[in-house]
Amino acid sequence: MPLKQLLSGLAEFSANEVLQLDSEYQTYLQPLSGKSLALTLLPIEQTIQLHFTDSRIDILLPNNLAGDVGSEIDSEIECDVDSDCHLTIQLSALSQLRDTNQLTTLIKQDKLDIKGDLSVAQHLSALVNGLDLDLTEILTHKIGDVPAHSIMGTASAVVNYAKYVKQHFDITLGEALIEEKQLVASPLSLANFSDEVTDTRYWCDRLAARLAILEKKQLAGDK
Amino acid sequence: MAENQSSSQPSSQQSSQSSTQTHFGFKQVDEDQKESLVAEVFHSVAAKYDVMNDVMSLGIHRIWKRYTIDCSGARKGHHVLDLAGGTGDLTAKFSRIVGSEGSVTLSDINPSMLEVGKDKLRDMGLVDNIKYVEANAETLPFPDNAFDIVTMAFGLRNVTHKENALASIFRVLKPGGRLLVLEFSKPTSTVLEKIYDTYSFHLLPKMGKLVADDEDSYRYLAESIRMHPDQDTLEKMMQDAGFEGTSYTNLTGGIVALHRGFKY
Repeated sequence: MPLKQLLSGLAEFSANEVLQLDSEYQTYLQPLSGKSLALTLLPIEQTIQLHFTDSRIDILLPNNLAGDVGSEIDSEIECDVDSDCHLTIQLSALSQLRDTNQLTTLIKQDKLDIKGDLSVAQHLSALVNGLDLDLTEILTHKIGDVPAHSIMGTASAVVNYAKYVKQHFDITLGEALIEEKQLVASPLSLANFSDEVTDTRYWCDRLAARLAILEKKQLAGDK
Repeated sequence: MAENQSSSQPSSQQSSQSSTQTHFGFKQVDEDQKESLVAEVFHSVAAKYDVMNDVMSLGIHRIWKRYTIDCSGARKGHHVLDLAGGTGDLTAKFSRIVGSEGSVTLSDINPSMLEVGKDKLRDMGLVDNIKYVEANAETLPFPDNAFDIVTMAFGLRNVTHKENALASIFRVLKPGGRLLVLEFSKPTSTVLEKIYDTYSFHLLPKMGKLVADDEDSYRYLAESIRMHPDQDTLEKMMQDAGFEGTSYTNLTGGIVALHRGFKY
């Protein structure tokens, strides 16, 4: 079974379900209707193509022929990507794509390349940022006030506890690496080392200047 | 590319030994009869076709179809022919991809299937760029070089003269256009083949009885799959029809194969 198609199917289903949760989603989809956007993720070089209509998003994987069914696939035949806007982005910078103010910075850092109609990417960003998803309210309509409040309260507590555990783990791990195993230098050691490097550079510069003066004096004496 | 499969089932080539007889499942019938017999089967299952597809394949047919669309290279402005398109699964997706500048023609020989597809697509709000044509794949009523892409999902095995259908498709494809045939095929593993045989000859007809109250049609489905040419034979048939750059991809262990060919 083509795993990528299973994942793209799930992603498409989830994206459209999430869209339906906001009653005003069509306002954000309208400017994108009839447009398409291709997103190539680096370094995995996987292209995802989004086709927009006024009521839903379709997700395609046009380069899948070099993909997941191994030797049975003729990799010489590749499907073309033809979109109104084509973004090529480093996977690590994907989360920053939501903020359109970051686009210039990402382009300067060679983490993002944009070809085609930039307004498609801007409208997509507006769609993602503009969706107003109040989970408590959505749950309230489906299961009632009290269960919705309880579920959201529990979920919030679980998230807070997970954050606390992660923070605690980070501190413990950091201390173990610095103090016990001494695999990583402490910030104080780093500052001290940096000061010593600065001092050494200062004395080297002084020595070089003094040598230059002595050379000049010697040359003057020879004449 | 997958290796050639040896066939333990009666070969579809047998039908060509007699000029008047062809296979209908495992039965031999007059060639003239096959079309109406197949029509009866699909008329009988049309109303519950989508439900049965989901039940029989556990929903995997959606992933096979998605893979087909991903391989189609469809883009805005393309003209697509969804041949034997049945209830319009591929047509719905193509319609959104090609947009108002392009068109999708949903064609099926069976009016009942076409009617179910038409209702379904209209319910989805897809009306602008879809045409519905009741047509025999062997004699397509379209001009030469009319389509950028032709797809045929789970339809070719029901065609009486497959070589005529492939020639007809070749004629209506534009130069540079591609044909994608998604069809049941031959499992690549012996173990899988045995499991698949047990499933399709014993469980499938019972499921057909239970869900659609139609055991015979689903027995025909299992038999027709076994009579369909294997991967390499179908690829050869495509080449004989004039297609170039042909290849196929086995999906789910060869239970289904996607064949591709180009007209240059």
